[in-house]
Amino acid sequence: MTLEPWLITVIEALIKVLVVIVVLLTGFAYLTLVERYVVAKIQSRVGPNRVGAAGGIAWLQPIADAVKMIMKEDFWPAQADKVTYTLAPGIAVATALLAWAVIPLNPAITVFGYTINFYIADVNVALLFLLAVGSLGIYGIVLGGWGSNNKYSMLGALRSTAQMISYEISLGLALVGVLMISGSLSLVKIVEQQSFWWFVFFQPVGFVIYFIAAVAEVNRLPFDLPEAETELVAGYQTEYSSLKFALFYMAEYINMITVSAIASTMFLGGYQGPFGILPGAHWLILKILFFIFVMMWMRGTLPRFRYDQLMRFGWKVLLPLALANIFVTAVVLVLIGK
Amino acid sequence: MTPIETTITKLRERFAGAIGDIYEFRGETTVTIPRAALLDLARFLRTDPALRFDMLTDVTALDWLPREPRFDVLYAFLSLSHKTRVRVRVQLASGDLHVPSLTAVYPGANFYEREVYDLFGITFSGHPFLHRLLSPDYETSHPLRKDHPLGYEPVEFTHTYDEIQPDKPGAVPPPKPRRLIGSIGGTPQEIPLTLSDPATPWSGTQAETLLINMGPHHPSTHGVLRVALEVDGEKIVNAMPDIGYLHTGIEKTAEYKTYLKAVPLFDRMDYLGTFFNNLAYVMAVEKLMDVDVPERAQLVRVILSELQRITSHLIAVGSQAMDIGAVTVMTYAFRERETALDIFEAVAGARMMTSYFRFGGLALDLPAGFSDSVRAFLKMLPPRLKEYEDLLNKNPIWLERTRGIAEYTAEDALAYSVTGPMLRAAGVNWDLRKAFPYLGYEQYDFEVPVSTRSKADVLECYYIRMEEMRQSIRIIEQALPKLEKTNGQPYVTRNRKVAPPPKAELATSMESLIHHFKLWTEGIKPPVGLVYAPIESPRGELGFLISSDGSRNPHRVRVRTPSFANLQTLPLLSKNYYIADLVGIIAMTDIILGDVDR
Repeated sequence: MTLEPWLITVIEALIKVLVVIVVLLTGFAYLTLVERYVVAKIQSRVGPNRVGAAGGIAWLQPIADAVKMIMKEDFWPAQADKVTYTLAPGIAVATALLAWAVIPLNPAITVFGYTINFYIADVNVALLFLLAVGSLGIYGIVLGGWGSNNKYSMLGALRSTAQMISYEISLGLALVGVLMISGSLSLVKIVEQQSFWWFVFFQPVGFVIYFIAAVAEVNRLPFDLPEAETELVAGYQTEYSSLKFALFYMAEYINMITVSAIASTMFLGGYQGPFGILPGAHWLILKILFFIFVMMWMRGTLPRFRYDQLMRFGWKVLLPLALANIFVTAVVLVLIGK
Repeated sequence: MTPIETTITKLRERFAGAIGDIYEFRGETTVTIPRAALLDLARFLRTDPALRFDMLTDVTALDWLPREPRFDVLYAFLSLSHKTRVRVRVQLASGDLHVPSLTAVYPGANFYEREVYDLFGITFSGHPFLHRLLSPDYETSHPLRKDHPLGYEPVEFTHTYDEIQPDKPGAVPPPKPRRLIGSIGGTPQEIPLTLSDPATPWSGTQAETLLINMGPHHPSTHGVLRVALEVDGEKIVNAMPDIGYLHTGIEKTAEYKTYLKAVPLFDRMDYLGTFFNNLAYVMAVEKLMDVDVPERAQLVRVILSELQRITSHLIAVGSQAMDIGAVTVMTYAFRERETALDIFEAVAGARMMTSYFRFGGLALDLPAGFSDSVRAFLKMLPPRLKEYEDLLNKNPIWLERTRGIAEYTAEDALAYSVTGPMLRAAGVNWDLRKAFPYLGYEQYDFEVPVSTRSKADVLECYYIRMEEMRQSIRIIEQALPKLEKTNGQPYVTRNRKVAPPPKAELATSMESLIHHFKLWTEGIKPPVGLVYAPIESPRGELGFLISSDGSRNPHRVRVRTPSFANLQTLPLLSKNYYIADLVGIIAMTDIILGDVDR
């Protein structure tokens, strides 16, 4: 039996989508465990040590957490807006997952004469797609905060909007430097160009700005104002419970993986590793884990910004720096005649 | 002439006809004046350059049913510059229960007068917001009056509700509250709970502000505090503390216990400073009965209180950092505190509710190995404190979140009866351990950390608390060698009217047997009198006012708690800051709601 070529393409895409989603969701589950251990170590606590603990690590904890989340009562606030309240967590997760359509994971390999590309889609404007999808993620939070009919949720949603708008600009501008060097919007091409010199060496300032803005983008400490638990109880997720709450968490962690993946792809050569000892995807995973670890480390060390200070930092420090970075990059590129 | 003599002379000159009898007992002076002269007298006390009573530390009342005039309203004034206290008494007959409010002279009278209004039903004319403070607003009686029955409070959820319901005196189910304390346009007022209420005050032209109920269940209110928070965007227009959710009537209960049995009640007030609660209470009773305390007991009291000052400040600093987002400092602080709690457990058998001090000394002698474990704690602590400072002191986010937040001046602090680290952060050098030394604090070489800035803020309070922990370490280090010299010496007074005789004596001495019997059946019987014993708790001035009518139960135990006064500065401190700052400000005041509500 021979398959039609278009059918093969569809099946291949479906398999890839399935693999990416399964890996991401498992990754999310175990990232929560990693985070709990990392923060516990920083805070001189023990961390989870009950569920399926073997060798001091509670391997089954994420599964127990998932079961617990599913079994919880699905709570509806009395005057919540049913549609937006239900839709919001879905939007948050969907946009978080969408970004993975364009991130290349490994160099292409050939099996039985058939070339498999380790990305779902090689979009020629992949970077713009990433930024656009990232911006859509805000809708999950805003609609959730609005739909809950709760003052804390509302304040959290408002904070989130302001924060996302201010940091998205710096985030985008920080990536422009890379674009100017690479001359392409396709992530696959950008990675391929970094086979020897990673772009972080050409764009150190852009890299730092991107990372700070990315942490703000995924609402992690010290920028976790939308959910600031000591002020707004839980911000936009105050009223959420059960699976809907889990979905928000899922979105947050997948976003962490995503921004780390983008940082690795744009600045640290993606799946390109030094010396080529390990297969490419390993390098990408290592780099992603490194960024995630740094985010957890920041959570264990830093206090939280205040709303107005955060805005000031975004508009008055990061944005001018990002613009200056673009300017300098442009001047240098012209001077060396590229 | 001593300052108090000057005060009396000056008062006699100024209010020649009005001054009634002057009562002196155990070195405390109570001046009786008629109601009409009260406001003038308060103004005079506050402003006269020779007197300078800057602070109104307490307002309370005594109910002398069936005597007429039935109520005494007591005002406690404190002069920081002359280190003098004077108490002013206004007597009120039962048909005519009102006095002028002192809020215009001392803004700090606000909560105190509301409390007296709530618990005694005495009206304060001219008070800006005279509403019930501790009991719910559907309450119709006044719990601290002597004719208010004790017990059978309606507990709706008990499974024996039907059984106890018929026994309740005039029991009616409590009505559901319909109005709550809130704030509209920056002025506190009672607002209806539902928008459909016809009296909804914000229809139409009101300023567009948002009222948030921060609490009673909120992660950062440090207990069941409700802050009626009016915000304009994220900016605070007004933050009205609404308290009473933890009011358990400890003062009322104490009136129905013997003196000794009241000790564990007070543990439950400031649950981070249990030794301090015990200490102030037993010191008040000791003052009332004029009991000597052996040196060993005094040393143990100093060491344990200073240890607990450290643990309390650890929580204050840790939870403050946590509220601003640095959770790690909190877990570190709790780690250190555990070690100290182990010591408390070894000493008193309980980690928090210690109830360890007794009249004239201690409940039992120290366990073996006490000084070693204290030494180990003292050795461990300084590097750990350094660790917190490494995490916070140079962290730009921390500095930005604390410096210049909730600024207040020394005048504000004094006017609002603020005591403790918050007062010292405003640059007022005032510590009761130095001002009125008790427990032999004058023998120890330590410093009182005082801010040198003109205005206090959140950061300044944090610095003061960190430094106070270091000073406490110094005190304990000096006390430990002294303590070791007293090994084997008595830990409780030999006064058999107060402390029971050793068990061995009972077998041989008839007199001891009688004392033992009297103490365990009847309890102690202090003379008639009114005493006040203040100490410096981690939060400020903690004082017990005990009124004794000569019987085996106290006639009234009034607790002047520091958190209560410190909390009422919240509207002043948080105005025009942000919601995010408010949690830091609440943490700065370091309130314990058990201490506020009692």
